[in-house]
Amino acid sequence: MRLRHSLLLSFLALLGGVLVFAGLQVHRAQSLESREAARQGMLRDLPLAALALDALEGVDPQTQVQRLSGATGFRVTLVDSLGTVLGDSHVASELIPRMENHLSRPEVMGAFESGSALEERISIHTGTQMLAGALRLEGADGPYVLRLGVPVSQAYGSSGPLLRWLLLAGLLGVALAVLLTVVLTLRITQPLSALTHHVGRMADGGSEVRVPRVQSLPELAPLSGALSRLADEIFGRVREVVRERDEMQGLIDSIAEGVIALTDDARVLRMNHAAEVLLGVPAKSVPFAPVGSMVRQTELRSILEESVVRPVSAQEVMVGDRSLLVNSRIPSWGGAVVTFLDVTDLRRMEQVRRDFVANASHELKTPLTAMRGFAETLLDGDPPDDLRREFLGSIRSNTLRLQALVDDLLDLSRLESGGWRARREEVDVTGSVREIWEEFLNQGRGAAIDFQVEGEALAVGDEHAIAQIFRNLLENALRYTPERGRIRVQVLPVGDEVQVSVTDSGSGIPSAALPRIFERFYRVDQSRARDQGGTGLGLAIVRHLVSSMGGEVGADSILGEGTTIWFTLPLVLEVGDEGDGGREDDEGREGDEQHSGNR
Amino acid sequence: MTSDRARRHFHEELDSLQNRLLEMAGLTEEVLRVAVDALIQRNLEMADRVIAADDAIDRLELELDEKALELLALQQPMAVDLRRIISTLKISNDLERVGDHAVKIGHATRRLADHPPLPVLPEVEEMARHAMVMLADALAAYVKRDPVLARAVRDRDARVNALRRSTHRLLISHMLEDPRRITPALELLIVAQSLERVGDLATNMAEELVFLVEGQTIKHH
Repeated sequence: MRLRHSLLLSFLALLGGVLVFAGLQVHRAQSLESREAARQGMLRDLPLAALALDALEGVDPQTQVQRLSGATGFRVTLVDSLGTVLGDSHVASELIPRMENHLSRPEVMGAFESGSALEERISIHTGTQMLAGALRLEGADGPYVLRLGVPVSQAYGSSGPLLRWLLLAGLLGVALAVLLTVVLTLRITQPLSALTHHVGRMADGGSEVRVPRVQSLPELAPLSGALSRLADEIFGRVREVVRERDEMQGLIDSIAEGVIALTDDARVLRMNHAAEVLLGVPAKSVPFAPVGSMVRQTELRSILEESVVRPVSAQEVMVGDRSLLVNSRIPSWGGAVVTFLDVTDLRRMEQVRRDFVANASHELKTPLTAMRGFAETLLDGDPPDDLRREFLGSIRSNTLRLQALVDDLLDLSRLESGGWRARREEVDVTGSVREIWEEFLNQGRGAAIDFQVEGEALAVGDEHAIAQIFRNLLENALRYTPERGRIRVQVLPVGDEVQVSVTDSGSGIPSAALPRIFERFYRVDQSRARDQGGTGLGLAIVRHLVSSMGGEVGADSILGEGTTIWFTLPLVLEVGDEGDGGREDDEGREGDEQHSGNR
Repeated sequence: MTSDRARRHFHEELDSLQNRLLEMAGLTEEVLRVAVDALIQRNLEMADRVIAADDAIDRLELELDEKALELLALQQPMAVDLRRIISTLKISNDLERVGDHAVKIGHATRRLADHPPLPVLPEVEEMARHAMVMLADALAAYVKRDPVLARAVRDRDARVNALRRSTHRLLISHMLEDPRRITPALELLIVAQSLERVGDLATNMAEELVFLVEGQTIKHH
């Protein structure tokens, strides 16, 4: 039962008990007292009535009693010694002779015997409780009795008004009790419910909760103080735990390897950022979600789900287009800790290295075989002059191709070993492109091509390197663009760099091949490209040249519509435009004449 | 207390539903990849593996359907949970159809083997790559609840459709060039059609995810 209700109930019970007891006592005292008063009054009234009767001497008895009754309000009866009723104020005169003998009435009998008597009894005549008093009188015809009767209810007076007051006081008491209960319980429950509220919020976790000090109820102050200390303690611990957890998470997040800790029913206990990225699972993964509800690659699923019973060691799995090296072990607390190492780049580099030797040998062998064939033919027979010239021409062009290849290889190895350093000078990018295109036109190539250069910019870089880049890019574009195709070069200053893009209207490159075209000897179409000449090293050289000048290189292509190769170079900033140049920018300026002194 | 336990139980059921769905997704993705590899490498053994794997996908779909319906009937979930179950149903249905298309590609590969080789067009390879990336992205978006990635899937669909049209043209020119190429060209046409449908189905799944996360439908817009 709630405090308020029990308090109210006890108040009401107490109040009710007191009221009933008081009412009973009052009632009893009142009736005893008034009864005594009525009896005394009756004893006083009887002689007075006798005197009044004397005064009415000579009048017939019925009239006597009626007048007496009219003056006093009593019922007045006269009875002679034989018990015959002489007159009765409450009975009609014609009925008097028929009234029964009244000697049987105790008060009449008592009066004849001892002069006067008081009796309280049920009136035979009216059926109500009566107080009757009788007095023996001596008349001319012998003794007779004067009887006065009054209903008890009239004689005693009632305790009603007093009880009504009591009841009113009771009601007032009830109202007061309710009010008091409310006030008292509020004083207790309000601070209690405030405390409960705060403790509840504490239990729900969430942000830190301050438990307020209870002022209104001194008895609760120690409790609120203790709760407040408890809250401080708890939140202190929680902060500690959170900090430790964050530190731990930060620690494992900074590991390049993906790490997943699993419970023994293969639910995710914790995982680091690298694992989320490698496996493509939600960034804020649901705690304790089954690992199977996050990872869908069949092989990886089975490895992860079985890792809690059967650890794997250095197993390589393909996830999408990445190869992951998976290791797991079962820690002392059960479950599993699985680590993923992304070996995609490693595998690709291994592949590139393997390919390079094979490709280089192959590229070198093709012209050599041709030259050997021609040379042997020339040695063996004695071919006609024009044929001999043709053979020698072929040998020469194959030699040139070999030379170009070896030159490219040497360039590349010099670039890769870091033996070459780009100079830093101002280069007019647009002018450089135009110059190179002129070279091609002079060789009689690309005359039918719709060639356009848009934009102008001064870049920081090595003039020869930039020329080499354009030579390679335009060479490629020419090679893959049909006779009446289109080549567009765009030079666009963006921020602190120049973006240069060379777009052709060739056959395009499948998107799968795009990331690989900057590899050495990589051919998009293994069967076709070699016929079209080129060493297969052009883009690899471009990439190295651009990156050694502090730029980036990339390619976009839409199959059937053309290819765009783009690269960036640091932009020459206007003098005085100190601006917010980045680090790359600062390096770019280092070589500039204006700034060369003090850096 | 009991309702708390019931809720936890319900969420475990949801987790296991998702678990099954991802198993099906992984299997479907793999089957599609094997089908494309088989086509490009003219590998009949791989094509047979694709055709055989269809049963497993179908079984998983039935199992998922049953489980999802059971959850719907017994738990009468509301709001997010309801959407999750409905999404599972739809995505498993889409995945099953992706599996069917992989099988179609497998059959086409088998039949192509009986004919003089017609080089698989780079356009078809490109389509296959796009379709696989779309499927992977749609599924990744579903796992990550990532509507941005899901919308990217939809944007890629246009590329696949364009590629299919140009494949169509190229194949017709092949057929005109050499009547012996008509049969294999028709098979490749079927392949292209299947790949386009895979792209569409991936788009469907992506849209389903957007609906799941945002409660907003982007279909037919």
